Amino acid sequence: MPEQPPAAAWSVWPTGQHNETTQLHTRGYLPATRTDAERIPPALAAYAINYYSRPGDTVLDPDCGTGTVLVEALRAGRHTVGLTTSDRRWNITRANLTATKLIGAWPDASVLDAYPRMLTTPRAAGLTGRVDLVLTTLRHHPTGRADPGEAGPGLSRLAQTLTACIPLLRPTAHVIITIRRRRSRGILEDLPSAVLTAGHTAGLIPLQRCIALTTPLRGTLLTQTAPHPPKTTIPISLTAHHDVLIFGAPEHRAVRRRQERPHPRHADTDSTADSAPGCEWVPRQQTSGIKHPFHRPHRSAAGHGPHPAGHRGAAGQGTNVPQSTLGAVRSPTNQTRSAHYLAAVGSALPAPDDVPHRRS
Amino acid sequence: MPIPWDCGPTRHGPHRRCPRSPRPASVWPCATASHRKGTGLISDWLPTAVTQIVTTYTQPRDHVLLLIPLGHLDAVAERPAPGSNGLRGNGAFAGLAEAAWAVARLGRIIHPESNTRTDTAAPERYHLVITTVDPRARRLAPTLGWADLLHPDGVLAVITHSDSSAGRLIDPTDMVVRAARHAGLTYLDHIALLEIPLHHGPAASTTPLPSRRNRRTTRAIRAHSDLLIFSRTPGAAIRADHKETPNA
Repeated sequence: MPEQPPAAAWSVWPTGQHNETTQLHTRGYLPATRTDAERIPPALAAYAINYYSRPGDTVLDPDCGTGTVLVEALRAGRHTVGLTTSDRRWNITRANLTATKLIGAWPDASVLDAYPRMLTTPRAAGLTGRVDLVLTTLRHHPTGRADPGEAGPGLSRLAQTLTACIPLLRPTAHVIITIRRRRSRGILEDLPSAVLTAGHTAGLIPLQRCIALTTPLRGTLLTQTAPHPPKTTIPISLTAHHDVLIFGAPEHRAVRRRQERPHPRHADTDSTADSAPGCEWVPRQQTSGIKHPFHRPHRSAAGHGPHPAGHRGAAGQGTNVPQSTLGAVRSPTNQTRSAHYLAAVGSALPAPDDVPHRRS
Repeated sequence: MPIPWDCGPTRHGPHRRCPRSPRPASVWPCATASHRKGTGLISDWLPTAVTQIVTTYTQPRDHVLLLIPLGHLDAVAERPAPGSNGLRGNGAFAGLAEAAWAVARLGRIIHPESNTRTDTAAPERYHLVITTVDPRARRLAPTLGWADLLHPDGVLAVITHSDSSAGRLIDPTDMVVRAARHAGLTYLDHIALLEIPLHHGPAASTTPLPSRRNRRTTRAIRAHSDLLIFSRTPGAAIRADHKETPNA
């Protein structure tokens, strides 16, 4: 059931009332979800999703790990898309989504086996201008295959990912990045400032800097234990929060998109393919014969192992997919129907609200 | 149950750095449910924050330098001359001078001075320097010789907070960290100072969720300030290189 959004947000997010182990257990995650040490805590993801998006919106995590953002978006009634290049995490995320769907979540959800830079290709035209919230984290130790065109892990990877997400954003969209503290030889790295610079370079508008608590509150106090205090001359604090940076979509996109690309849903009354330049949206009724748009480029069409390249990427289990496909997570060969999710999601997701209708 | 942090190499003796205070968390609840009586110039959370900084990083009889923003040394909010140093005369840190009394009661030797002082001849060394940075300051106060003010094992504590202008975030953290590094200091810690009471989470406002079109104009309410800790001793930071205790 979708959770009620909070009435107003503070710069301090009370998301640490339960530790992450309890959060994962009570929300029905697979135990293997804990293998992603840099995951966004479920309570943090739920808080951000509930305030910075509305039911029916689309939430994207371009580096979803084991899928906590996707699951919380699904639970909150949002459509969601995630990307990962780790086979193990793709399976875990898909299983988490399946478990969430089985308890009654109705929106569309998809986890794609693709690089974040795939979002810049015409194959992602189905998501262009439809994402309301990008929620991801700065990962210091990314797993999965290395992208040949990737500058490197950490900040460079995040900067490329943010740049790739820009065309997908609605004009009113938000981009939220969570940051775990990290030390290098005891010196605290100023990662929030570096992420602010990366977001500004990508064209995003920095809006606010918040903190998300990871420590329970007891009355007016925080409870924290220090099982292994370090031997230092100056006390070093225990991490009790994550930094959260909130960006806004570039303002110029609203004007540019009005001029360049009317949405296909409103383009023609007969639901035919849109002929606007730069738009490769595929109408829903024509998706049965297409190749999956997010296939991994280095794999041949013959596929890799039991997963054909065209049938590997998506775990679409939405309103347009029969419930019989929910068992596909245990039977990869049954993923034929869900393979075309992203192409069809263009007709399932809400239309951009800033595009004027075009009547022919 | 909090555990006192262990003793490392000490400055003045084997028990110099072995207080019984627990290891601090990276979030300090500084606001109290009831307002304190005073002149009304200082925010109720600021004395608590200064007191906690002093008790965490110093011992009795240590020298503490409190660099007070311009115009607040006499506990009177005065606006600085235009173009003097870019600092505003009031704001979240107004009345900081009142915190000197709290520090003095803790047995520390307090030295309240203006953060615009420029005399650098034979400065005294302090175990702790507390200063504030206004987020709208175009540049920092001229007392950037922070390393010259600190004892070799001293600590610089900078209190600041983020702000917004024309809908865009203003975060002075990068400016402060760069200035401190330029002065030869090591960025040791970042602590969030909560300015509102926490009763199982910040109190929820009754403000309705903004619509999609004007959502951009609505900001989350700022409820915390940032405390940046710098050290002059790189060795202290290296010894602090440990695995952060996960909260899972």
